[in-house]
Amino acid sequence: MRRTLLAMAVVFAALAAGVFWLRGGHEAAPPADTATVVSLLGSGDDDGFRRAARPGDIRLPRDHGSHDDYRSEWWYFTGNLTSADAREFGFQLTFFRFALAPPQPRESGWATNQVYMAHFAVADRTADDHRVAERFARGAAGLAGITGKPFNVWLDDWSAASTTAEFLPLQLSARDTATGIALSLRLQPGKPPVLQGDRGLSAKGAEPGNASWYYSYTRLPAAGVVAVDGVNFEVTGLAWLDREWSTSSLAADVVGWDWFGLQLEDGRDLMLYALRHRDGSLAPQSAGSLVGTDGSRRAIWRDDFSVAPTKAWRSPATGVSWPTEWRVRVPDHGLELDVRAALDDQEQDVAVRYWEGAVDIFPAGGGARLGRGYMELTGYRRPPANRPR
Amino acid sequence: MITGRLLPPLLLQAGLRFYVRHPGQLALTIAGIALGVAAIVAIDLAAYSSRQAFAASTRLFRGQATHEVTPAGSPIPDSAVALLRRELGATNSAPVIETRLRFAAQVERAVTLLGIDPFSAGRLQTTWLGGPPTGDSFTRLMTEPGAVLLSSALAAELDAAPGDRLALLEPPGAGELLVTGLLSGNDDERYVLADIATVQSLPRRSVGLSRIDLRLEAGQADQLAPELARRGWRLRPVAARLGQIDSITRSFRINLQALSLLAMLVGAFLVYSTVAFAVVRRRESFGLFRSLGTQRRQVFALVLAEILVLSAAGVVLGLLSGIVLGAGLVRLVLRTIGDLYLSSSVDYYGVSALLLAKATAIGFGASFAAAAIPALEAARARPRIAMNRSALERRRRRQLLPRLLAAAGLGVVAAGILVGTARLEPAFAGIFAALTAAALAAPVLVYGVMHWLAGTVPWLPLSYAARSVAANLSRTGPAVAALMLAVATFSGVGLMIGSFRISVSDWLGYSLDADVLVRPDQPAALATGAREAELLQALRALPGVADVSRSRRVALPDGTGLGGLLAVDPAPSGRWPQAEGARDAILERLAAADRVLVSESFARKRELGPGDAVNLLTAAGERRFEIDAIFTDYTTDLGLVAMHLPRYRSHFDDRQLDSIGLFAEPGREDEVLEAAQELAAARGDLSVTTSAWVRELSLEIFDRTFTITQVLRLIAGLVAVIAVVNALQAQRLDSRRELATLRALGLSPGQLLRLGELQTLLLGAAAGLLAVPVGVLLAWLLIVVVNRIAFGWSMVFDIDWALLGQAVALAAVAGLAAGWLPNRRALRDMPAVALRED
Amino acid sequence: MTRRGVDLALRAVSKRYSGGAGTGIVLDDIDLRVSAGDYVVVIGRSGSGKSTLLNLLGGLDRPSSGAVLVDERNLGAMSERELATLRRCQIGFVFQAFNLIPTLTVEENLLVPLQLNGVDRRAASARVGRVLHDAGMAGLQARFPEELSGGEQQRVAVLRAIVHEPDVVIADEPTGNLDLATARQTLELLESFAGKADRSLVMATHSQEVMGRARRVLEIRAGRLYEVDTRGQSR
Repeated sequence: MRRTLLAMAVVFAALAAGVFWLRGGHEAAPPADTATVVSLLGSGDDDGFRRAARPGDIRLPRDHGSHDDYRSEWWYFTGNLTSADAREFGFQLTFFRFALAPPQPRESGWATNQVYMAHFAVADRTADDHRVAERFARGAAGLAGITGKPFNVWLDDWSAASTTAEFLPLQLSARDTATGIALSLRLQPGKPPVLQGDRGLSAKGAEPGNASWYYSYTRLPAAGVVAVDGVNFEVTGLAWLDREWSTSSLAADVVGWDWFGLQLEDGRDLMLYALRHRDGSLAPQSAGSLVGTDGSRRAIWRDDFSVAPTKAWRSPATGVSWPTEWRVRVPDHGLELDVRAALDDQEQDVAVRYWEGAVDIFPAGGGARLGRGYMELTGYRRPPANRPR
Repeated sequence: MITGRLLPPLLLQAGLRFYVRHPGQLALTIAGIALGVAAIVAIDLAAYSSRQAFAASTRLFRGQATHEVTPAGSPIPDSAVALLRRELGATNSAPVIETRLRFAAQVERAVTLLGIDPFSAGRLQTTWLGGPPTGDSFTRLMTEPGAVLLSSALAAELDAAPGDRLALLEPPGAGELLVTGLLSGNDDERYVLADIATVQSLPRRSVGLSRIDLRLEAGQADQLAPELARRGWRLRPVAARLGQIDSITRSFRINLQALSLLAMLVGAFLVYSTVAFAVVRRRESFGLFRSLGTQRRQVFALVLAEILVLSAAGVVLGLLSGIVLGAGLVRLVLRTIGDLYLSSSVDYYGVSALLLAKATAIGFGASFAAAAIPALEAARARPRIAMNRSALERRRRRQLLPRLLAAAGLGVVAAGILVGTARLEPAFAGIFAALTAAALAAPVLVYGVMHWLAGTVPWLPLSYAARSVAANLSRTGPAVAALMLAVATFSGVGLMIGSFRISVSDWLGYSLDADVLVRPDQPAALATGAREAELLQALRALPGVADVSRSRRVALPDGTGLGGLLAVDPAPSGRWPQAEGARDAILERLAAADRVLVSESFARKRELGPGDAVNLLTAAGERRFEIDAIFTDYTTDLGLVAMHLPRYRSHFDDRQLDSIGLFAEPGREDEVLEAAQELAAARGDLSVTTSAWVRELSLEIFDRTFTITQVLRLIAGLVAVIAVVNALQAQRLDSRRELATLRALGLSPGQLLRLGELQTLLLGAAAGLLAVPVGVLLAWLLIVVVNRIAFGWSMVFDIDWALLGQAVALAAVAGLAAGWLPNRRALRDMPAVALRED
Repeated sequence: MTRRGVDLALRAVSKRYSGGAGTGIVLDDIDLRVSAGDYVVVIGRSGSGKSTLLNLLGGLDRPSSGAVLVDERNLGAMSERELATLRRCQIGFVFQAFNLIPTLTVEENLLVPLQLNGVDRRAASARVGRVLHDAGMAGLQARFPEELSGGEQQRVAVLRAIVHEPDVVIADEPTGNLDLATARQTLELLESFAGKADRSLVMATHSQEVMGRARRVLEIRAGRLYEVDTRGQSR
């Protein structure tokens, strides 16, 4: 569920950002605040788009490809990598597709209703350095797009492409000269895909159809090269792929969400997302899953878990306080974990401001590291500056 | 003693009081200076603004682009952007299709349509001119067919608002556009912005992208250039584009420059004539000053000081009226630019401080230069109270020969300059020298003519009038010169334009030799498979069609892109090309070998001729094409190369056609037109026009282009009137006592009036007649020297006698009209008043 | 056709000039009669109004009030065209400053009044030649005025005033710019004309000699006109 909202927010923001950029370059307005985008989403006109309705409709490998008749869709790669000399990196390579309008045939090589956005980030933990790049392109004239067989999603020279006729292995490639980061990573088959929610149908609100299709590859062995400022690091590690597509809007009382994708050293993977109300309580659609070493999935519902921030880090750049450390409990599975940001500043101040970054997992109260993962935080605002005088 | 000070205040007071007591004189002098300055400002403003407009259109939606890719031999396909981004590392790249459209609601002006990809534009941090679009128009721009944004200036012109549908006249068959938003802002740019897909969906004359803008890192260009060249595209810095714009607008700017310089010359002569007159009228006062002990340099300084005051007033007035006049002119010029060139026709109108400073400097400078000679004359005034006027006239007559010699000398110098130069600036200098020589000689010649008249015609009123004109040359001379110059400019520029028009009209007959023109709306669609053959067959089969010709025109694929390449498959019965030599032989040679024709401009600019060769970048690399002959072309002064269409297709990867000409059997033209129109209606992908209509349109645009020169002629006309008023005032004032005497002798008012009119008519007609050869000379110089140097083309020299007659009539009528009031005023008082005045 | 001359008369004529300093009365309620054949001299100080009186008599100016009568016809009621005809046919003017037309030769200057009166060119030329010959200036006919001496110019001017044989010649200080001998020549030329039957001569002058030769002498003082007897005494 979590990233449907983000994606929609982001694509609207992308359009807004396009406008801002076009207007004046650097003195552009600040990135759209999620909250305002949320209200914008509430009035979106989704007529003519398909909706996620009946559980169990996901077919693979067909559904690796794009679903242009749904409003939004993404391929979300994250992971933690380690070099031979034990230098640790986090990475994120995400491709978003967003339909501005339902598909319609038009006579032009440039005609399309599909817009693509991609985010590429590398966290160099040793250097305490996090960099992010963002690109937009229309899904036409070969600038960005998706092919089914062999699978390939790309925007410019950033891509995730199957190296054989099978979906896996996948080759991730991205290079951004402005920020000086590059990635070339081969993802091997690990655990099989798991269908999130109810057989892949992930509810977002009470009304039917307000849901997304959601499946994940929670553990993909990765090997390749990470480059920072032209210095190459041979790395290995674990990656995570989230796939989701939908035509859905956000409940009016939801102000943001926190998402956790945790890969434990004991071989289990835990995914949780918490939809926050304004008063801090969790929306009933908050949920997650625990994937066993054998790939089997246990659903986790809202009453089965709790997440609570234990530390706030205030971004010097934006002034936003991000909860970078959390206590996570899933009592039924005996999990009581401390999740800590690998480095505090993994804030992504792009079209939409959010926090997406590598985390370490510890036993609650302390102890040796239990694993690594990725965390996403949205809907946090700068505290109001209206101190009494 | 007043010798100590350069300019005793009382002296200046006496000088200025003269003008206060003679407000007519004051007005004339100021008007003369103002007119000169106004002409300079107005024309300069037009030239400046047209350049600004071009520059602005170049900047339109370029953001921080450092380079651009343009087609040079091959069109740029849509996939080129992906290629650049995904394989060549040029991530910051933005495709642009720029074209022109014409709204049904605004037939008279074409508008630039920019097709952009908003996301790509974002990568270059392109600035929206006039602010971002409003509302959700951005999304609609990308998703709704026909959605466009209008600049606010254009929206205001069209009275259009978001939600309106606007019908298009051009491109034909394009239907309607939907206004989804406005680009708000307070600037005057007028353009239409659309998503690139929308623009691509319109019927267009050419395929591919107009260009791809790039923001490249240092060194990246060098790597890219060969890769792109290999594909028939050119990479070059954006700054180079401005250079090209410069060369395109050159012809325009040269035109304007010539006009503003001519205006300045005419204006300066006017100043000279008014100041000279003012000085001559007061030579007795100056003599008196001298007899009171004033020194020469003080008299000299006095005249200059007066001129300083007067020219200050004149300059201010001139600047103001020049700006007003310029505003109208700018509109005119920009409209022409919009018609002629495929670029944005933004209305840019700015007054630069530099321009005003320049005009001010020229205004004062010309005034002082013009006043210097009369001031020297005033300083030379002998110290006595009343100088015998006839003595002055005698002295002046003694100066006639030296003056004539000086004029002749200057003429020789002018000829020397003009013969020897291949550059524009000296050519203008030469023309100025020639005109100045003519102006110098004019009073002398008028004197001669009047003397001859007085001695030959045994009719007392005429000989009296002729002699009085001749006798008053000390006062009327400069005005006669100014009048002559104005009329010569009037007729010279007119003759040049007339000659040009005849040449163009003639050439249109050659280049539009078919009866009916058929244009594919989507040339690219025809370029595939057998569709062209199919169409040609259908056209040949139309009733009454005797012959068919085909043509294709592209930018010259020689690496510079300057100029054009025309590929023609001519009809055996056609007239094209307009070249020396037997047509059949030329066409045979073009078809048989890699031979080309080059336009006059091309030949002259590159100093090539028959027997030389042109290298072109074909699909198979660079190839040599031998020049067979030179042909006439006025479409571009950058030069045009023509070759046989089948040869073109064998060398270049381009099978598109721009136009197909249908030749009708004699007398069946209408039938062919109807049949072609029917075919077009049935097929839906053709536009049909008649050559006659295109010819008419071309001449209409030609005329509009030269409307600006009418402004100069208007100014010349004004100068003519002011000059004559000046001369007549001089004469009338001088002869008041004489007229009173005549009245005392019993001349009736009617007789006096006729006598006065005879004088003014003689003066005007003499200047007008002298202006004929000078005007012809000016036209000849403009055609043979200026046009050849600036554009490289020649034209027939057609002397339009009607126009020359008109010029003489203008001068004579100006004389009569200007004399109307003074002649009548001379009768207003009883003769005793004039007699008493001494 | 025999001429019987012309009678000139001023009746209660006043002439005022309005200038920057206010109004000045030049002539104040003057009555005068000049009969055909009269030889009248007008004297007075500079600026006393002699020229004004002459201009009024010759129709070159109009009175502020009163009437100028020529053979009992009121000039004030005549159009400019009629005035021109009057001047052309019946009056000749001589000015102190000669006022020859500088761009015309001596002969042409003399031809002007004849041509104006419609005399055909050949007859006119013959008459001009005779007049010049009679005046002893036959050799000067092709000269321009500026090529003549002052005396010669004035004699040409006199000839121009009489060549068309007007009824009255009005001369405004014709000898003012001339030396004594030249002045005498000019006067003789004028008198030779006026001496003929019914032709009048009205002349303004400062010259004592002229006063002595006139039949009547009038003096203007403070805007009024006084008849002076030939012994030099005012009445």
